Amino acid sequence: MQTPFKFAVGSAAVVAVGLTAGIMATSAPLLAQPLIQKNISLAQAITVVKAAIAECSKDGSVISITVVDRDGEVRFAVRANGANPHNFELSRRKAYTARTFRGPSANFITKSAPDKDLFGQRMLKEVIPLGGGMPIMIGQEAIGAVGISGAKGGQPAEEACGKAGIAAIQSQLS
Amino acid sequence: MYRYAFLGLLGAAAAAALIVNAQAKALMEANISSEDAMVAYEAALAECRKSNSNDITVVIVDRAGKEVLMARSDGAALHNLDLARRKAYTGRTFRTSTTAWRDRSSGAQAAAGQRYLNDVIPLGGGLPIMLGQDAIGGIGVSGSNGGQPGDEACAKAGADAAAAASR
Repeated sequence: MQTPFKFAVGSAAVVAVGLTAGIMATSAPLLAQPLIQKNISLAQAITVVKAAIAECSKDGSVISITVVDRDGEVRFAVRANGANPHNFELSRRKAYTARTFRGPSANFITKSAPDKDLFGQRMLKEVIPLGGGMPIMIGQEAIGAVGISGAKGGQPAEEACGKAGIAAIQSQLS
Repeated sequence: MYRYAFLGLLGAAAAAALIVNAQAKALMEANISSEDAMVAYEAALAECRKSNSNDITVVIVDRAGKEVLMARSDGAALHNLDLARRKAYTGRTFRTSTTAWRDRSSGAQAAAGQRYLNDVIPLGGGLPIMLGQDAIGGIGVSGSNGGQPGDEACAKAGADAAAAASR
């Protein structure tokens, strides 16, 4: 009886020391400074929207467009004249999808296709398996995204307009 | 029996009148365009900058109370975008400033029950965008330095600019 008891006490002491050291190790940097993250600014979002609208206007397309921030929340959004009731929602969900998966929303179509293991991701709220959403990246970090709906050229054209929008702030993305 | 036949004739006449009316022409309604919404937004921003309010959140809704433009500022609190939207909606649906609606729906007044509507908000900072007597949209501002009067002043600059652009 005595040996297991000693072992238990000894183990507890080791675990306690280990835990204390662990807590100190993790809490020291946390106390040192808050988490600082890059995020898209409203001014940048407006620049993206204007450039994307200019690109899409070339073939007479009138688009609905949403820029979401790092958290997937709307930073700036404009609904097109004559938009169908679903267009604005689609632009937001395309942006959200691109942001959360950190890639073009068109990629999500194939990755989450019905024959893929990731099909279940389509049950997430707000995501949409449609092209026209592009993430806004600084290196490997997604600081936002743009989503477009209503271009004459469909999803590929919407993606191209989104890219043109992001290109307008490319020099600031570093 | 004779009486019923007469009623039937009346009904047929009414139905015919309805069909003729419906075929006459579609309902034409003025509405805020996305371009004019942008004009309104920029005018509201410019007005707010005068009082060093550089961090406002703005929503512009159309005739139907649906969002046309949403701009959430960099330093916005979590509630600002929703407030701006609800101010714009309230200004549009009651076709008056949200400050006026706040005051007339307060306490034990007869209109107090209107506050139970969804999406309305009894806070200043929202205005309708009027084309004559026609409310073609609404604008809501949240987050100015001047509180509700400050928000309303910026919203007014936006609504006036949109009305001028829509003419």
